Amino acid sequence: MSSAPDGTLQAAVGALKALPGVTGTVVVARDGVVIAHDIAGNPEKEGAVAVYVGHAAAKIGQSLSLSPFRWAVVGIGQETVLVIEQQDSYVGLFLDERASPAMVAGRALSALGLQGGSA
Amino acid sequence: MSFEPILKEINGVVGVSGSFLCDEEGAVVASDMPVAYSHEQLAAVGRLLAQTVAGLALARRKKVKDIDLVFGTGRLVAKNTVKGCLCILGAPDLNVPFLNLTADLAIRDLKHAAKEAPQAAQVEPAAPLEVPLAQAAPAEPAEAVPAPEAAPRPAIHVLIDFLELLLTHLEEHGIGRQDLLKILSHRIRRLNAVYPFLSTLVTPDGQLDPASLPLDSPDQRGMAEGLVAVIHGLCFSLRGIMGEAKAEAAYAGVYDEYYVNHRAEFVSLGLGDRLRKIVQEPLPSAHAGVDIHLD
Repeated sequence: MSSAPDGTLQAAVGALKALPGVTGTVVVARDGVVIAHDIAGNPEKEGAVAVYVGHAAAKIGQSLSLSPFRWAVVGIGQETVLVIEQQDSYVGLFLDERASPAMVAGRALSALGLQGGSA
Repeated sequence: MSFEPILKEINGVVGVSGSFLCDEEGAVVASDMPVAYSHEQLAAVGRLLAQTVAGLALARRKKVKDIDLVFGTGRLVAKNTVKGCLCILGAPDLNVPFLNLTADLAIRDLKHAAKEAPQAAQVEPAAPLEVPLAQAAPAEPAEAVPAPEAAPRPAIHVLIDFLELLLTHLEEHGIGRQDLLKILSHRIRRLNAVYPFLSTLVTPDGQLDPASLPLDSPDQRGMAEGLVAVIHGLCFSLRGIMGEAKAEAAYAGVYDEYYVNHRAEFVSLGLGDRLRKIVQEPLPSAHAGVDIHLD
Protein backbone atom coordinates (compact mmCIF):
# COMPACT_ATOMS: atom_id res chain seq x y z
CA MET A 1 0.00 0.00 0.00
CA SER A 2 1.27 3.48 -0.77
CA SER A 3 0.48 6.84 0.64
CA ALA A 4 1.99 10.21 -0.14
CA PRO A 5 0.85 13.79 0.07
CA ASP A 6 2.35 14.89 -3.20
CA GLY A 7 3.59 13.50 -6.48
CA THR A 8 7.26 14.28 -5.89
CA LEU A 9 7.41 12.33 -2.66
CA GLN A 10 5.32 9.57 -4.17
CA ALA A 11 7.77 9.32 -7.04
CA ALA A 12 10.75 9.24 -4.68
CA VAL A 13 9.18 6.50 -2.59
CA GLY A 14 8.41 4.53 -5.73
CA ALA A 15 11.94 4.97 -7.05
CA LEU A 16 13.47 3.79 -3.78
CA LYS A 17 11.14 0.82 -3.52
CA ALA A 18 12.18 -0.17 -7.04
CA LEU A 19 15.85 -0.44 -6.06
CA PRO A 20 17.13 -4.03 -6.08
CA GLY A 21 17.06 -5.46 -2.58
CA VAL A 22 14.50 -3.00 -1.20
CA THR A 23 11.27 -4.54 0.08
CA GLY A 24 9.67 -1.46 1.59
CA THR A 25 10.13 2.28 1.99
CA VAL A 26 8.93 4.73 4.58
CA VAL A 27 9.55 8.47 4.84
CA VAL A 28 9.11 9.91 8.31
CA ALA A 29 9.28 13.50 9.51
CA ARG A 30 11.65 14.21 12.38
CA ASP A 31 8.70 14.26 14.78
CA GLY A 32 7.81 10.70 13.83
CA VAL A 33 4.90 11.42 11.50
CA VAL A 34 4.87 9.12 8.48
CA ILE A 35 4.83 11.30 5.37
CA ALA A 36 4.82 8.58 2.75
CA HIS A 37 5.33 4.89 2.53
CA ASP A 38 5.24 1.88 0.33
CA ILE A 39 5.47 -0.89 2.82
CA ALA A 40 3.56 -3.92 4.01
CA GLY A 41 2.58 -3.83 7.66
CA ASN A 42 2.30 -0.89 10.00
CA PRO A 43 4.12 2.17 8.57
CA GLU A 44 4.15 4.00 11.92
CA LYS A 45 5.80 1.05 13.60
CA GLU A 46 8.32 0.64 10.80
CA GLY A 47 8.91 4.37 10.54
CA ALA A 48 9.74 4.59 14.23
CA VAL A 49 12.88 2.59 13.54
CA ALA A 50 14.08 5.19 11.04
CA VAL A 51 13.45 8.04 13.48
CA TYR A 52 15.10 6.26 16.41
CA VAL A 53 18.21 5.41 14.44
CA GLY A 54 18.34 8.72 12.60
CA HIS A 55 18.17 10.75 15.80
CA ALA A 56 20.80 8.58 17.49
CA ALA A 57 23.12 8.81 14.49
CA ALA A 58 22.89 12.58 14.40
CA LYS A 59 23.70 12.87 18.11
CA ILE A 60 26.52 10.33 17.97
CA GLY A 61 27.99 12.08 14.94
CA GLN A 62 28.04 15.33 16.91
CA SER A 63 29.53 13.68 20.00
CA LEU A 64 32.37 12.08 18.06
CA SER A 65 32.76 14.91 15.54
CA LEU A 66 32.05 12.54 12.68
CA SER A 67 29.35 14.49 10.88
CA PRO A 68 27.83 14.60 8.34
CA PHE A 69 25.70 11.53 8.85
CA ARG A 70 25.33 9.62 5.59
CA TRP A 71 23.47 6.43 6.31
CA ALA A 72 22.91 3.77 8.94
CA VAL A 73 22.02 0.12 8.95
CA VAL A 74 20.37 -1.68 11.82
CA GLY A 75 19.54 -5.36 12.11
CA ILE A 76 16.42 -6.12 14.12
CA GLY A 77 15.48 -9.75 14.34
CA GLN A 78 15.56 -10.98 10.77
CA GLU A 79 15.07 -7.51 9.31
CA THR A 80 17.67 -5.11 8.02
CA VAL A 81 16.74 -1.45 7.87
CA LEU A 82 18.73 1.22 6.06
CA VAL A 83 18.21 4.77 7.29
CA ILE A 84 19.09 7.89 5.32
CA GLU A 85 18.74 11.42 6.63
CA GLN A 86 17.16 14.13 4.54
CA GLN A 87 16.77 17.82 5.32
CA ASP A 88 13.50 17.46 7.21
CA SER A 89 12.89 13.74 7.37
CA TYR A 90 14.34 10.26 7.59
CA VAL A 91 14.00 7.62 4.92
CA GLY A 92 13.79 4.02 6.04
CA LEU A 93 14.47 1.29 3.51
CA PHE A 94 13.68 -2.29 4.44
CA LEU A 95 16.12 -4.65 2.81
CA ASP A 96 15.90 -8.14 1.48
CA GLU A 97 18.09 -10.48 3.51
CA ARG A 98 20.47 -10.87 0.58
CA ALA A 99 20.78 -7.18 -0.22
CA SER A 100 24.08 -5.36 0.30
CA PRO A 101 23.35 -2.35 2.54
CA ALA A 102 26.31 -0.46 1.10
CA MET A 103 25.17 -0.98 -2.48
CA VAL A 104 21.58 -0.07 -1.71
CA ALA A 105 22.75 2.97 0.26
CA GLY A 106 24.81 4.17 -2.67
CA ARG A 107 21.93 3.79 -5.08
CA ALA A 108 19.44 5.32 -2.68
CA LEU A 109 21.63 8.35 -2.04
CA SER A 110 21.94 8.83 -5.79
CA ALA A 111 18.19 8.45 -6.24
CA LEU A 112 17.63 11.07 -3.54
CA GLY A 113 20.15 13.40 -5.15
CA LEU A 114 22.42 13.28 -2.12
CA GLN A 115 26.19 13.15 -2.10
CA GLY A 116 27.96 9.92 -1.27
CA GLY A 117 26.15 7.83 -3.81
CA SER A 118 29.19 5.73 -4.37
CA ALA A 119 29.17 4.24 -0.86
CA MET B 1 41.43 -12.30 30.86
CA SER B 2 40.93 -8.53 30.77
CA PHE B 3 39.06 -6.62 28.12
CA GLU B 4 42.02 -4.60 26.92
CA PRO B 5 43.77 -7.26 24.82
CA ILE B 6 40.46 -8.07 23.15
CA LEU B 7 39.88 -4.44 22.22
CA LYS B 8 43.43 -4.19 20.94
CA GLU B 9 42.82 -7.20 18.74
CA ILE B 10 39.77 -5.50 17.23
CA ASN B 11 41.79 -2.35 16.72
CA GLY B 12 44.25 -4.38 14.67
CA VAL B 13 41.68 -4.83 11.91
CA VAL B 14 42.46 -2.68 8.87
CA GLY B 15 40.46 0.54 8.99
CA VAL B 16 39.66 0.38 12.72
CA SER B 17 40.92 3.27 14.81
CA GLY B 18 39.50 2.40 18.22
CA SER B 19 36.91 0.49 20.20
CA PHE B 20 35.15 0.61 23.51
CA LEU B 21 32.75 -1.51 25.50
CA CYS B 22 29.58 -0.27 27.19
CA ASP B 23 27.31 -2.02 29.62
CA GLU B 24 23.55 -2.22 29.12
CA GLU B 25 23.10 1.17 30.80
CA GLY B 26 25.58 2.71 28.37
CA ALA B 27 28.37 3.20 30.91
CA VAL B 28 31.85 2.72 29.44
CA VAL B 29 33.33 -0.47 30.85
CA ALA B 30 36.59 -0.54 28.88
CA SER B 31 38.09 1.55 26.15
CA ASP B 32 40.94 1.60 23.70
CA MET B 33 40.02 4.69 21.74
CA PRO B 34 42.19 7.46 20.29
CA VAL B 35 43.16 9.94 23.01
CA ALA B 36 41.27 12.66 21.17
CA TYR B 37 38.05 11.25 22.56
CA SER B 38 37.28 12.02 26.18
CA HIS B 39 35.50 9.74 28.57
CA GLU B 40 32.52 12.10 28.52
CA GLN B 41 32.21 11.83 24.75
CA LEU B 42 32.30 8.04 24.90
CA ALA B 43 29.87 7.92 27.81
CA ALA B 44 27.43 10.10 25.85
CA VAL B 45 27.69 7.77 22.87
CA GLY B 46 27.31 4.72 25.10
CA ARG B 47 24.14 6.10 26.66
CA LEU B 48 22.69 6.99 23.28
CA LEU B 49 23.39 3.56 21.90
CA ALA B 50 21.99 1.84 24.98
CA GLN B 51 18.82 3.93 24.75
CA THR B 52 18.52 3.27 21.03
CA VAL B 53 19.01 -0.46 21.35
CA ALA B 54 16.54 -0.64 24.25
CA GLY B 55 14.01 1.53 22.43
CA LEU B 56 14.18 -0.48 19.23
CA ALA B 57 13.97 -3.78 21.09
CA LEU B 58 10.96 -2.56 23.04
CA ALA B 59 9.22 -1.16 19.98
CA ARG B 60 9.80 -4.19 17.80
CA ARG B 61 9.96 -6.94 20.43
CA LYS B 62 12.93 -8.32 18.61
CA LYS B 63 16.61 -8.46 19.34
CA VAL B 64 18.61 -5.59 17.92
CA LYS B 65 21.77 -6.89 16.30
CA ASP B 66 24.35 -4.49 14.90
CA ILE B 67 23.98 -0.78 14.30
CA ASP B 68 26.26 0.55 11.61
CA LEU B 69 26.47 4.34 11.40
CA VAL B 70 28.30 5.80 8.41
CA PHE B 71 29.44 9.42 8.49
CA GLY B 72 31.46 11.57 6.13
CA THR B 73 34.62 11.20 8.21
CA GLY B 74 34.17 7.93 10.01
CA ARG B 75 32.06 4.94 10.85
CA LEU B 76 30.79 3.56 14.13
CA VAL B 77 29.74 -0.07 14.31
CA ALA B 78 27.91 -1.01 17.50
CA LYS B 79 27.52 -4.71 18.12
CA ASN B 80 24.96 -5.86 20.64
CA THR B 81 26.64 -8.11 23.20
CA VAL B 82 23.33 -8.69 25.04
CA LYS B 83 24.88 -7.24 28.20
CA GLY B 84 25.83 -4.06 26.40
CA CYS B 85 27.47 -2.82 23.23
CA LEU B 86 30.86 -3.24 21.64
CA CYS B 87 31.49 -0.01 19.73
CA ILE B 88 34.06 0.06 16.96
CA LEU B 89 35.22 3.26 15.30
CA GLY B 90 36.76 3.17 11.86
CA ALA B 91 37.10 4.72 8.46
CA PRO B 92 33.94 5.35 6.39
CA ASP B 93 34.97 2.59 3.98
CA LEU B 94 35.63 0.08 6.77
CA ASN B 95 35.10 -3.47 5.53
CA VAL B 96 32.36 -4.52 7.94
CA PRO B 97 32.09 -8.20 6.91
CA PHE B 98 35.84 -8.50 7.42
CA LEU B 99 35.58 -6.68 10.75
CA ASN B 100 32.81 -9.05 11.82
CA LEU B 101 35.14 -12.03 11.53
CA THR B 102 37.25 -10.56 14.31
CA ALA B 103 34.53 -8.76 16.23
CA ASP B 104 32.26 -11.78 16.59
CA LEU B 105 35.11 -13.78 18.08
CA ALA B 106 35.95 -10.82 20.28
CA ILE B 107 32.40 -10.69 21.62
CA ARG B 108 32.67 -14.32 22.59
CA ASP B 109 35.95 -13.58 24.37
CA LEU B 110 34.45 -10.53 26.06
CA LYS B 111 31.62 -12.64 27.42
CA HIS B 112 34.14 -15.15 28.76
CA ALA B 113 36.18 -12.34 30.30
CA ALA B 114 33.09 -10.87 31.93
CA LYS B 115 32.15 -14.25 33.40
CA GLU B 116 35.66 -14.91 34.68
CA ALA B 117 35.94 -11.60 36.47
CA PRO B 118 32.57 -9.91 36.87
CA GLN B 119 33.92 -7.68 39.63
CA ALA B 120 37.01 -6.82 37.63
CA ALA B 121 34.74 -5.63 34.86
CA GLN B 122 33.53 -2.90 37.16
CA VAL B 123 37.00 -1.61 37.86
CA GLU B 124 38.43 -2.28 34.41
CA PRO B 125 38.71 1.44 33.67
CA ALA B 126 41.50 1.62 36.22
CA ALA B 127 43.60 -0.55 33.93
CA PRO B 128 46.22 1.34 31.91
CA LEU B 129 44.02 2.09 28.94
CA GLU B 130 44.48 5.07 26.69
CA VAL B 131 41.44 6.75 28.18
CA PRO B 132 41.79 6.90 31.98
CA LEU B 133 38.13 6.43 32.63
CA ALA B 134 38.20 6.59 36.40
CA GLN B 135 39.94 9.94 36.32
CA ALA B 136 38.20 11.41 33.32
CA ALA B 137 34.70 11.53 34.68
CA PRO B 138 34.56 14.03 37.50
CA ALA B 139 31.03 15.00 36.57
CA GLU B 140 29.79 11.43 36.77
CA PRO B 141 31.23 9.82 39.88
CA ALA B 142 28.61 7.10 39.72
CA GLU B 143 30.34 5.74 36.63
CA ALA B 144 33.90 6.24 37.82
CA VAL B 145 33.17 4.48 41.10
CA PRO B 146 30.25 2.25 40.28
CA ALA B 147 27.55 2.18 42.89
CA PRO B 148 26.19 -1.22 43.83
CA GLU B 149 24.09 -2.45 40.95
CA ALA B 150 20.36 -2.63 41.21
CA ALA B 151 19.05 -6.08 41.98
CA PRO B 152 19.71 -8.31 38.96
CA ARG B 153 16.76 -9.07 36.81
CA PRO B 154 15.26 -12.40 37.88
CA ALA B 155 15.92 -15.17 35.39
CA ILE B 156 12.24 -16.02 35.45
CA HIS B 157 11.51 -12.76 33.64
CA VAL B 158 13.34 -14.17 30.65
CA LEU B 159 10.52 -16.68 30.27
CA ILE B 160 7.88 -13.97 30.39
CA ASP B 161 9.79 -11.95 27.81
CA PHE B 162 9.98 -15.07 25.67
CA LEU B 163 6.23 -15.60 25.97
CA GLU B 164 5.61 -11.96 25.03
CA LEU B 165 7.98 -12.25 22.08
CA LEU B 166 6.15 -15.37 20.97
CA LEU B 167 2.80 -13.58 21.17
CA THR B 168 4.13 -10.67 19.12
CA HIS B 169 5.54 -13.03 16.52
CA LEU B 170 2.24 -14.88 16.32
CA GLU B 171 0.43 -11.60 15.81
CA GLU B 172 2.67 -11.06 12.80
CA HIS B 173 1.41 -14.45 11.58
CA GLY B 174 -2.11 -13.05 11.63
CA ILE B 175 -3.39 -14.35 14.97
CA GLY B 176 -5.04 -11.51 16.84
CA ARG B 177 -3.82 -10.47 20.25
CA GLN B 178 -7.26 -11.01 21.74
CA ASP B 179 -7.38 -14.57 20.43
CA LEU B 180 -3.93 -15.24 21.84
CA LEU B 181 -4.99 -13.86 25.21
CA LYS B 182 -8.07 -16.06 25.14
CA ILE B 183 -5.83 -19.07 24.61
CA LEU B 184 -3.51 -18.00 27.42
CA SER B 185 -6.38 -17.41 29.82
CA HIS B 186 -7.85 -20.79 28.94
CA ARG B 187 -4.52 -22.48 29.59
CA ILE B 188 -3.98 -20.63 32.86
CA ARG B 189 -7.43 -21.67 34.09
CA ARG B 190 -6.58 -25.29 33.30
CA LEU B 191 -3.35 -24.98 35.24
CA ASN B 192 -4.78 -23.09 38.18
CA ALA B 193 -4.87 -26.04 40.55
CA VAL B 194 -1.18 -26.79 40.04
CA TYR B 195 0.17 -23.27 39.45
CA PRO B 196 -2.21 -20.81 41.15
CA PHE B 197 0.33 -17.97 40.93
CA LEU B 198 -0.33 -17.79 37.17
CA SER B 199 -3.83 -16.43 37.70
CA THR B 200 -2.66 -12.80 37.66
CA LEU B 201 -0.08 -13.15 34.91
CA VAL B 202 -2.31 -11.53 32.28
CA THR B 203 -3.42 -8.05 33.28
CA PRO B 204 -6.92 -6.77 32.50
CA ASP B 205 -5.50 -4.70 29.64
CA GLY B 206 -3.99 -7.77 28.05
CA GLN B 207 -0.35 -7.43 29.05
CA LEU B 208 1.90 -9.99 30.70
CA ASP B 209 2.86 -8.72 34.14
CA PRO B 210 6.21 -9.99 35.48
CA ALA B 211 5.43 -8.33 38.82
CA SER B 212 2.56 -10.76 39.31
CA LEU B 213 4.97 -13.59 40.00
CA PRO B 214 5.91 -14.34 43.62
CA LEU B 215 9.56 -13.49 43.15
CA ASP B 216 10.27 -13.98 46.85
CA SER B 217 9.46 -17.65 46.42
CA PRO B 218 12.52 -19.87 46.82
CA ASP B 219 11.09 -22.20 44.19
CA GLN B 220 12.12 -20.35 41.04
CA ARG B 221 12.30 -23.58 39.12
CA GLY B 222 8.77 -24.48 40.12
CA MET B 223 7.65 -21.09 38.87
CA ALA B 224 9.51 -21.71 35.65
CA GLU B 225 7.68 -25.01 35.23
CA GLY B 226 4.39 -23.15 35.52
CA LEU B 227 5.35 -20.74 32.76
CA VAL B 228 6.64 -23.61 30.65
CA ALA B 229 3.25 -25.29 31.08
CA VAL B 230 1.54 -22.13 29.78
CA ILE B 231 3.90 -21.98 26.80
CA HIS B 232 3.33 -25.66 26.18
CA GLY B 233 -0.43 -25.18 26.24
CA LEU B 234 -0.20 -22.20 23.91
CA CYS B 235 1.89 -24.24 21.47
CA PHE B 236 -0.62 -27.07 21.60
CA SER B 237 -3.45 -24.70 20.71
CA LEU B 238 -1.36 -23.18 17.93
CA ARG B 239 -0.90 -26.55 16.30
CA GLY B 240 -4.66 -26.79 16.04
CA ILE B 241 -5.06 -23.24 14.73
CA MET B 242 -2.09 -22.93 12.36
CA GLY B 243 -1.37 -26.54 11.53
CA GLU B 244 1.58 -28.48 12.89
CA ALA B 245 4.21 -27.40 10.38
CA LYS B 246 3.42 -23.69 10.58
CA ALA B 247 3.15 -23.72 14.35
CA GLU B 248 6.48 -25.49 14.70
CA ALA B 249 8.16 -23.12 12.25
CA ALA B 250 6.71 -20.05 13.96
CA TYR B 251 7.81 -21.28 17.37
CA ALA B 252 11.31 -22.21 16.23
CA GLY B 253 11.63 -18.82 14.54
CA VAL B 254 11.35 -17.17 17.93
CA TYR B 255 12.86 -19.75 20.23
CA ASP B 256 16.13 -20.58 18.49
CA GLU B 257 17.57 -17.07 18.52
CA TYR B 258 16.13 -16.27 21.92
CA TYR B 259 17.67 -19.35 23.48
CA VAL B 260 21.10 -18.53 22.06
CA ASN B 261 20.95 -15.14 23.74
CA HIS B 262 19.49 -16.31 27.06
CA ARG B 263 20.96 -19.74 27.47
CA ALA B 264 22.39 -18.97 30.91
CA GLU B 265 18.98 -18.01 32.30
CA PHE B 266 17.32 -21.08 30.80
CA VAL B 267 20.01 -23.27 32.35
CA SER B 268 19.72 -21.54 35.72
CA LEU B 269 16.00 -22.28 35.72
CA GLY B 270 16.75 -25.94 35.11
CA LEU B 271 15.29 -25.88 31.62
CA GLY B 272 18.34 -26.13 29.42
CA ASP B 273 17.20 -26.47 25.82
CA ARG B 274 14.08 -28.40 26.82
CA LEU B 275 11.69 -25.88 25.34
CA ARG B 276 13.11 -26.45 21.85
CA LYS B 277 10.80 -29.41 21.20
CA ILE B 278 7.89 -28.36 23.34
CA VAL B 279 5.82 -27.41 20.32
CA GLN B 280 5.94 -31.02 19.16
CA GLU B 281 5.12 -32.67 22.45
CA PRO B 282 1.72 -33.88 23.72
CA LEU B 283 0.21 -32.04 26.65
CA PRO B 284 0.77 -33.39 30.15
CA SER B 285 -2.16 -34.22 32.39
CA ALA B 286 -2.15 -30.82 34.10
CA HIS B 287 -3.81 -29.46 30.98
CA ALA B 288 -6.61 -32.02 31.11
CA GLY B 289 -9.74 -30.99 29.25
CA VAL B 290 -10.81 -30.03 25.76
CA ASP B 291 -8.90 -27.43 23.81
CA ILE B 292 -10.21 -23.92 23.36
CA HIS B 293 -12.12 -23.09 20.20
CA LEU B 294 -11.86 -19.57 18.89
CA ASP B 295 -14.77 -17.86 17.20
